[in-house]
Amino acid sequence: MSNVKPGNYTDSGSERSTTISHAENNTQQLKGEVLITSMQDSLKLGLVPINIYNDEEIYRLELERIFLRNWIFLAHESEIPNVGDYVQRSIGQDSFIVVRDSQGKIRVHLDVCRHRGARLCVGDRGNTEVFRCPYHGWTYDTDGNLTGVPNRTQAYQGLKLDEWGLVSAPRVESYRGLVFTCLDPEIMSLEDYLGDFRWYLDIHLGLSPEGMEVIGDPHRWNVNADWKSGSDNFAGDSYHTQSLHRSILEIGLASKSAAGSGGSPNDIHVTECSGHSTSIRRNDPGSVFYWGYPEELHMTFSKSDLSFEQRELAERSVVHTGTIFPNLSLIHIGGTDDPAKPIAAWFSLRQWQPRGPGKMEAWSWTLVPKEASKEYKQRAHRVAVANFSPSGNFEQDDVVVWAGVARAGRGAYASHIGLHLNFQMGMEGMSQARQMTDWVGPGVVYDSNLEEGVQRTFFNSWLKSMVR
Amino acid sequence: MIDRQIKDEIEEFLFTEAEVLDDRKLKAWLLMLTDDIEYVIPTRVSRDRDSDISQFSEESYHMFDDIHSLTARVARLGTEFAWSDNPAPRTRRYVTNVRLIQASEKGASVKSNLLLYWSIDESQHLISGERHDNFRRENGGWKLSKRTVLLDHVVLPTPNLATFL
Ligand code: FES
Ligand SMILES: [Fe+2]
Repeated sequence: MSNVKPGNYTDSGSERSTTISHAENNTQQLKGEVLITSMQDSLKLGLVPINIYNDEEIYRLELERIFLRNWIFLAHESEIPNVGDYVQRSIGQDSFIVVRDSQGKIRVHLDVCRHRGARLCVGDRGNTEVFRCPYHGWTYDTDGNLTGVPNRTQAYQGLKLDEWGLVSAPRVESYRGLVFTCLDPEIMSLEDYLGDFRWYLDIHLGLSPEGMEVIGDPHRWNVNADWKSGSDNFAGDSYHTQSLHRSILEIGLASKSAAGSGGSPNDIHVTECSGHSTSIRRNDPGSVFYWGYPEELHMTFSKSDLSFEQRELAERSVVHTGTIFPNLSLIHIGGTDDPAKPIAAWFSLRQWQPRGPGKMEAWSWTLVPKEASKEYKQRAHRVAVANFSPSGNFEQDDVVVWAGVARAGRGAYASHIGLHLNFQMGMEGMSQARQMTDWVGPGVVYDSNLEEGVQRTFFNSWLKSMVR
Repeated sequence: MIDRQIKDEIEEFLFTEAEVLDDRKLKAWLLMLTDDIEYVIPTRVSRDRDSDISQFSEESYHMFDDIHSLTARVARLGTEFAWSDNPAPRTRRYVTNVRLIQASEKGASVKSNLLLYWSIDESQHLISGERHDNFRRENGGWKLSKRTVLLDHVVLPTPNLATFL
C-alpha cells in the first residue's frame, strides 16, 4: 500500500481522501476504521499513524474493543486487606467498586444504583458492610445483593430483589496479588492471558517469599497525552533514556547502566510474549545486585520459589520495564533522590487510564517486599517518588513529550498526509539486534535493547483487539 | 505584641519566598531553608466525611524531601535537559490567610493558603492547598524548617509537579 511508505505522504494522503469521500454519512467513523485497516499493513513495516494518539473515533473503539474485552488491572490485594474494604477504580469512563465481601472474596461491582443510576461509592476508599444509595435509599451488601428497598410493601411489592442486585463484573481473577477484571465473560483465564509473560512477572511478584505490598495510596495525575504513549514507552523504549532523561545522568541521580544509552551486551528485549513485552537491563554476569535492594533482603530472596534461571536473571537485574496489554506497565529499578546517597530499589505498577482522546489519568503504585524493614520501605517510597511520580525527576519529562505526541495526533494536516511514526528499529537491515536462540525464558528475545519489537508487540496486541 | 511582630516577619518571608519561586531563583530559595528542612506533600484520597481515617496518607507522598533531594531537584531543573521546565513556565503564587499558630523568639509555626497559577506552553492549571510551616530563627533571620502541603486535590490537575509549593 502506498499510504504506508515513509516519506511518501502525498500519495498516502490522496489515497486516504479518496477512500473517505466514499463515505457520505459517517466520515468520522470511517476515519477510525480506515486508520485501523491501514495499520494492518503499516505495522508490518514498523509504521504507526500518528492520528491514533488523538482521535475521537479511535478512542471510542478502544473503549469498546480493548477495554471491554481484555483483562484490565484494578487493584493490588494489599489495598483491601480486610472484609468490607473497598477502593473505587475505573475502566475508561465506567466506575467500579472493588470490595472484599463478607467471605473475604474480592468482588467488582459497577458503581451504579440499579434503581435510577445514582452512584453508591462514597470516596476513593473505605470500609463498609453496605452500600446505601443516597437517592431513594436502596441498599446493597458487599456481595452486590439488593438487600433493602424503602416502602417495599407499599411501593415495590412485585420487585424481585435477586434480579436487581448490582451489576458485577463477569470475571474477576487475581495473579500473585494483582486483581484484574474482564467485562467480557468469554475471555480466557487471567493466567492464560498473562501466558508466558508470567515467567517475567513472577520475577517481580515472586521475588520475595512473603510477596509484594503497596505503600499507601497510588499517585494520580491528569496528563494531556494518550494512554498508549505510557503503554508503548514502558513496553521498552530503551532508546529514549539517554536523551529525554539526560538531566538525570548529568547530575548523577542514575547510573549509565540504568538510564544511559542502550546497546550494552547486558541488555535484552523480550517481545511477543503472549502479547506483552519487557525490556531488561542487567549487570555483568556474576553480579548479585537485585535492582539495588539491600543485602539483608538478598537472603530472603534466595528463599523464594523462583526457578534457577529466574533467580539468576533477578540477581543481575538493574532495570526492568514492561507493559501488560493494554494499559498496565511496570518498572523495577533502583535509584536515589540525592547523588551522595546509596540507591534503593522498588517496584512500581503504573496504569494509563483513558480519559478521552489524547487524555489520560496516570496512576502509580509503589510496591516493596513485605519483609523489608519499615525504614527501608519508607526510604524506597521516597526514592520512588523522587524518580517516578508526578514530581519524579524522570517522569516529569516523560509526560511532557507524550503530550506533544497527542497534540500532533489531532492535527488535520498530519491526518491529511497520513503521517506515520517510526517503530522500525530492529527490523531487517535496521539494527544489530539479533534474536537469541539460547535465552532461558519465553518470548521472542533480542540480544540488544536497541530494537522496537517490544513496542510493536504492544501495537500488534492493540490491532488484534481493534480489528476483531 | 511579640506575636504580632513575628507574624509580620513570617508573612514577609512567605511573600518573598513566593516572589523568589515565581522569579525562578531556585538556588536562592534553597538558602531560605534550614539544613534539616523536611518538605512533605502527602497524597490524598476522597473518603466518607465521617471516616475517622485521614484523607491524607501517612505513607505515600507527592514529595518527601530533605535539603539534599531538594538540592538535587534544583540541580536537575538547572540543566539544559529539564524538558518539564522548558519553555519556562509562568507561575504566580497567591499566599493568603496567614495564621500564626505558635511563636517564640526562636521559632514559629504558621498556616497559610496557597493558590498557584501555573501556565506552561498552552496549558493553564491551578493548584490549591494549605501549608503548615515551621520556621526557625537562624543568625537573626527566619528560615523554613518544615513544610507540609495539604493539597485540595485527589487527582493532580497538572501533568507533573516540576515546581515547589
Ligand atoms: S437511584 Fe438509587 S435508590 Fe433510587
Ligand atoms: Fe522515561
